[in-house]
Amino acid sequence: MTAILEVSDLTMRFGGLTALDSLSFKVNDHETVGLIGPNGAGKTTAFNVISGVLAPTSGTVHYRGSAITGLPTHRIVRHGVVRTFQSTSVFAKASVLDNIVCGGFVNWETGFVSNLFNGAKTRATQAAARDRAMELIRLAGIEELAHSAAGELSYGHQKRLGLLVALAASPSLLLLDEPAAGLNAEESEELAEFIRSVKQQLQIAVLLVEHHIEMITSLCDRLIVLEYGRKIADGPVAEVRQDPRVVDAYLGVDDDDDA
Amino acid sequence: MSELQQTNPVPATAKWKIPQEFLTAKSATYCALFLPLAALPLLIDSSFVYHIAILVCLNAIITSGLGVIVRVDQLSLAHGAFAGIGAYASALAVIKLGVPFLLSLVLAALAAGVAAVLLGRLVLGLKGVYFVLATFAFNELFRMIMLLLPEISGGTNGLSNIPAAEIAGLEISSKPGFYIFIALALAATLLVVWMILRSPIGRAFDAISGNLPLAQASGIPPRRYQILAFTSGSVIAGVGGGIMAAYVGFISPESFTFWFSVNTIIMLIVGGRYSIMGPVLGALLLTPLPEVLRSTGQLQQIIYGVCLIAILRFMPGGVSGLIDRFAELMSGRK
Amino acid sequence: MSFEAFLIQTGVNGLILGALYLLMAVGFTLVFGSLRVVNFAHGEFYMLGGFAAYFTTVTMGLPAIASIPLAFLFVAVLGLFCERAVFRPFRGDELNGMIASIGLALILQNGALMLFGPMPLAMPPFAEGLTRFGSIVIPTSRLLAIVISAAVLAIFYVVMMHTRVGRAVRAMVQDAEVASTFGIHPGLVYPLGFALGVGLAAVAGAVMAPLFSVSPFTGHTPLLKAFLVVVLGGLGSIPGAAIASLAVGLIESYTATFYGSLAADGLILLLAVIMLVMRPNGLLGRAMRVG
Repeated sequence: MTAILEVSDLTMRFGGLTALDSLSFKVNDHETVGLIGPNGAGKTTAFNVISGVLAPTSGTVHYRGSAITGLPTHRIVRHGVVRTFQSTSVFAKASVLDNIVCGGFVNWETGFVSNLFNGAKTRATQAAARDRAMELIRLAGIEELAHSAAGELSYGHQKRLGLLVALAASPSLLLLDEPAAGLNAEESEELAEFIRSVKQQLQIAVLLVEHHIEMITSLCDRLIVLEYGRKIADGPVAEVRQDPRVVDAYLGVDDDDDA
Repeated sequence: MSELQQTNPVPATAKWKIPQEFLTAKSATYCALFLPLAALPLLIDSSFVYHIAILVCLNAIITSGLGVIVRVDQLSLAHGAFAGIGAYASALAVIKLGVPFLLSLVLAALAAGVAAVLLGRLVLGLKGVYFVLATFAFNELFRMIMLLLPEISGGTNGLSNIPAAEIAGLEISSKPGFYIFIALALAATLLVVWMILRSPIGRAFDAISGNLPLAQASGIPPRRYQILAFTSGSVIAGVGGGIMAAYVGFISPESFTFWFSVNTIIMLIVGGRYSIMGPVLGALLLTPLPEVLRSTGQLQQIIYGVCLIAILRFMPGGVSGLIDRFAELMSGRK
Repeated sequence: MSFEAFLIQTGVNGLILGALYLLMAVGFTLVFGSLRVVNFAHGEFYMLGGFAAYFTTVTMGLPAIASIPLAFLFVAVLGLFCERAVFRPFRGDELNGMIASIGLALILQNGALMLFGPMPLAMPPFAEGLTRFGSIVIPTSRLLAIVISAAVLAIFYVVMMHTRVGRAVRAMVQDAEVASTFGIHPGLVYPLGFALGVGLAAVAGAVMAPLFSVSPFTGHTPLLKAFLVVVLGGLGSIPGAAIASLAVGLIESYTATFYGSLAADGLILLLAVIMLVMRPNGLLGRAMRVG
């Protein structure tokens, strides 16, 4: 197993508040890693720094050997690191198909002139993007919704569409920000099953922030536990669940929301 | 942002269609509406009607430019300044360098484009509010620079000796000639706007205005597309300004104030900002009014203000939103 | 007049302009903070404040000092109505709110033009005579304009910091949900924030009416200057706005005296452009980032 994402000594301060304190961890190829911790532990901050929403105070993030620290989100996507959002996030007015085509933007960027005159290259990449979007729609089993407006879908379908939009960008590492937030037990089990099958078929790595303990244990190979911006545990799920410090800090304590 | 769009009366599926779909009921309706209208001035052959028709086309061109900028959810209050930059560039090129009219329009486009890229790079990374304030300030800056450089701009007196437009040795200052020219220029503008919006570029524009964080997370560089929209729209304004200079024969810094931008905004909103034909409808509805009702200027401005607010509130798609609805009804879609 | 006295007189004029711009910028910021609307009609409320002052003093013969609270009241009530009629559907919708405010500006300006005509009206000063500070002589009316502006800003500060309404409006500027914890319905805070904001513009109009003139077109320049102050000082930062207003007022006054008003306006615009490039959030503004 080779490490693809390497986070080293990441520190993030907001004014006097230290949200991340020399955080270091790795994610290996094809691995599913859960990032957990109590409220305000810095999970969302870590996520935002890795995906380029925030630039860290110090420290580095490397992906497959290249430094992506502080790059804007749209450039990090080009390295293969793609994120989803905690709440539902879709292009509400566009159809499901167009949402996914749009998510695959990095794959259909063609020259300005070719775009303007709808040249052969543009037509070919657009057709390819539509084919790929249809493939993803079939993967999710929502063919009947392909032409519905995204904003009119149910909450659960919108969450799933958010995942498809991210997958369209052909990530090799998918960052999932609380994918099960707002779903009931049955829906989140369905979603976990879907993530598992997607991961299996597309051979990608997943880093997820999540509170649903069932989802974490059913999906993750490894857990990283944060507390006050520091890593307090890192290891296989079963092992971490036994760690007394983790039990103290987080597991077993019911808690549903992150700062 | 997304709430704004959900109030749009155009059904959610109406956007982002592939071109073949686009070329049906909607465009047929618009052709049925506009082709006879475009021929009308030639049939009536009255100089007043030509004058109005030329102004409608001019306003439609300039408003189309603003329509492209608004596509990425940004409002430029420097639209007047860009028309002014084009007008001065074109007029000065003709007067001082003897450049042919069509080439002077290319220079107008270039001048407006360069200025837009510079200003865009400067302010487009900013939050929406700052962008608006910056474009507002830029419009004032343009006016001031023109007033400070009377040797070039003619100062407060403006430039009044702009020669009549000439294409390939053929003077088109006669009203029918100029009308045919500007109608073709409008058609070309609409074609370019259509090409931009139906292409992947337009898709990126829609993504940025639809959901900015998601667009970024999908790898769309917002700044690049915002600058592209701003520059394309401003170039169109610049060309419009160049044509205006040649038609009116007189320009001054006071021709391109904040209120120029305001008038453009009104035409865009009334006509409809979600449709390529919206600017044409807006220009068609609002241009003849001040020319016909010259005496009631203030009342007319008040009516504009009321219309603007009412349209934003009750039919954000403007008049073209209604026509799109009609076309969709005719074609049997819901 | 000695050169020093001349310099001081120019400085006093600069302070007057600074006070005017500060009143405008604070009101503008308040409206933006509570409704998220870039209010292009803000200058028209300044203009209406001037007319209100003119009619209360010249037509109705009330003392000049009474004209200021009356102008505030009249415009604040008008503001409540405008918020209800125009802005309510566009709360939090920056683009449409802004365009609606342009519509409102058209209505107010042309309404004033129809009612009062285009001719500038002159108003008598607040006070006759001169005030001496040693060898320095300042027209009392100008001194009063500064004192009144400062007093209004002080009252505004006390209202914002120490009353329930003020705290609720401030909370609203930060976060719409928090406002309700002050026991004030958020639906009331929007109109109150708007009314207070445009009321401040009216006070500026009333204070400046005797120094400049009153006409339907007077709102444009103060609006532009409020924009520039906001760009220079940082949107949402009152201390930033205070520093920027005074700086803009003084720079404008001195530059205009020595090099003409066009150069003064050009210099201030140039400063604003430099600020946008160097510090896009203004002198003291909070960091904002797209996305």
